[in-house]
Amino acid sequence: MKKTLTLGILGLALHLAAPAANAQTTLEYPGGPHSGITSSEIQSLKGWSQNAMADITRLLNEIQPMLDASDVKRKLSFGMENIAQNSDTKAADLLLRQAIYAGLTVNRLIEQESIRRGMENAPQGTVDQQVRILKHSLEMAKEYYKSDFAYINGILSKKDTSYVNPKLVEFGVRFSQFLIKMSDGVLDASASYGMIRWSLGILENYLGQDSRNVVYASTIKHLHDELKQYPNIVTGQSAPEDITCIKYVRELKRLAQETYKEIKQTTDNIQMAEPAQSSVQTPTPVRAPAAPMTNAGSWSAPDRASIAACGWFDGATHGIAARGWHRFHIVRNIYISDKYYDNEGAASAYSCYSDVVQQDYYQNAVATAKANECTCKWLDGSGDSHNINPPSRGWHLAYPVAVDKDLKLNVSVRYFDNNGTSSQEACNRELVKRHFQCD
Amino acid sequence: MLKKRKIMTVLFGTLLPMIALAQNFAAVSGIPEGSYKGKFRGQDHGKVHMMTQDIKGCRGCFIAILFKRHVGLFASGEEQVQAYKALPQNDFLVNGMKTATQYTLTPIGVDTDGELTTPNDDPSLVLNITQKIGTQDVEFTVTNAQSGNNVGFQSTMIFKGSESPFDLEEGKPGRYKEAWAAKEDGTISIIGQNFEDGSRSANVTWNGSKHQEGGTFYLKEKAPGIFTFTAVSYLATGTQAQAMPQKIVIFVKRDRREHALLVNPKDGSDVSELKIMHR
Repeated sequence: MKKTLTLGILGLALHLAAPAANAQTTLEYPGGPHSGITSSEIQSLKGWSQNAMADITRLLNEIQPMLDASDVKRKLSFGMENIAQNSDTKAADLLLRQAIYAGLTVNRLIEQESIRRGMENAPQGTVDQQVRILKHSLEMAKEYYKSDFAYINGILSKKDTSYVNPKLVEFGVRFSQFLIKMSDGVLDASASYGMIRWSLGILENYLGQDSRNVVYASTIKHLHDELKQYPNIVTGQSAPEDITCIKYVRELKRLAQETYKEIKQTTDNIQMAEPAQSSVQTPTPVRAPAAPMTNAGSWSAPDRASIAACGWFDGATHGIAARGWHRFHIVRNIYISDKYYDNEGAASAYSCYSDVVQQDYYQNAVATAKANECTCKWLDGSGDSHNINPPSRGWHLAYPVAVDKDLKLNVSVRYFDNNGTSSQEACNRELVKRHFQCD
Repeated sequence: MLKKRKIMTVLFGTLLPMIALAQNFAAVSGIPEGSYKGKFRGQDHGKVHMMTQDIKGCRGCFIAILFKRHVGLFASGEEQVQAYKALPQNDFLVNGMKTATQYTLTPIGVDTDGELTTPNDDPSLVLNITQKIGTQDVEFTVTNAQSGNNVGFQSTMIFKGSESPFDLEEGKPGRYKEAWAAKEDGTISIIGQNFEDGSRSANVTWNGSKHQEGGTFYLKEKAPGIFTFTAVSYLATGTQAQAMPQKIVIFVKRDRREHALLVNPKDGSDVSELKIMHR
């Protein structure tokens, strides 16, 4: 009796532990995240992408409309996995490989949700939708091969520097739009939700990896903050109840529309600001130069408004009449006071800084710094050397934030001890793992 | 003693995990699968029928077919059929189960790839349960969602728990014939039905009629009770290329006789009704 009871409890414990174990399993097809590439690595990719293109064309030609959809699905996923497995990890930087990776990931998600529900067969029409997603992924891979080719040739004509694909954001938006459209036809509620949630997550990732990520900072932060509320089934989080999935789908569709609109607006602004380019774009460095923060003295882009800052003004210069602390910004080298905080020394300064860090633009600046200026630094741990949050002396993964027009402080996100080179190397490994971001 | 052991093993090893699993998917539909008869209110008049089929993989969701049929000299042109995806808007505890009392109904269409979709995300109708939730006598009202989506039915419909004489059917192979067509005109033969991946599909030959060009088609179940009807063409290479999708097909039974309804999802009044001849 005791033995049976123990076995029963063990069985129950194992069963209940199963979702937790599953929760750590990602469905993402390996080699997804985009990481930038060097010209020395790219030569081998040229050959791979040409072979992959031939395989893709063959796979697409073999699809017959009246074949058993299950057979077509197996054939496509098998063929796509073969293409992906033959690739180098660096192929992740090619949009051709990204399209295949995305298609395989969504295919896995749909299959997993049927299994999780214990259904022998997925709801009617699901296999057709899987075929369609795989087929469309191949078509996108084929379409973006052209831009990959231009990108590869662009890098080969330059020196050994890291670059990202200029079409990354466009690809991310299109794939996300496609998955949202496809999700309508997928009758499984959690699979449908999972597709939308994951597609917006990869779009956030692409925006962060883009060479012009500085201009997308606000969109990235908005997307990041919103998506935190929604579990990502693909990366192993538990699926919500069906009715919650339906509610989330409605909310995420709204978020997606807002995001596409913001991206379009930003992209339009960039195109208006940039001179006309040739059809083959020149690749740009992965780590774009950081936007000027609040250093009014070295402000070099007078056509743009600066990020607001706090400063003490004497009431006679800079065109600001009231003597004391002001929250201000600069437009075309003209100082504009946003708010006056009296002239009561530290108390006024504190009020101004407290106000500034609550502002969206400041939060955006922090997001930008985390994305662009994250680095390994040795900090002495004292407040005197401009450190926020690192009480420990040694190597830190940190990013700088400006709190005054001449003052940048380091914010530590992780401490790596003070054991010389080994601490520095540990920090560097973490930096690479995080794709040079402090988030 | 042995019996007691077995009970304990079953309890701990099977039943409790099942309960734990069931909790993940709790929430049921307040409208049981079935056929309901109702009436229009306002400008539209006559009877309306709603047939529902639960969606596997989405607890509380169902496919709703709304079907209007006037009794008159000419059946053709006086019918209207529209398929909807019904999704729960809320849930309440009813007899210990989470149950929805309000649903949005979004018209289903067919896209250029021949797959079912909701061309406009906004629902066109809202269904509110008013009495006897979760029973076959359930009473409910369907009203305009005021969303700007004007596809399909727009009038208010009241369902008072009456059963409809129409039933949604699986779609059996056989010869179906347009009621008003000449001898060999307007017949479709559905053969080769199979059950790959759990859904039904068939090859269809349509002789055509005065109203419709004939040809070879492919019938495939894409959602519970809803089939797409896709034209197939033959090329020199032997490839059967998929042409633009035509209509959706719904099989309905009345008085022990099966009818195949060929519906244009963009215009629910564009319906061809075929009755089964023999199998």
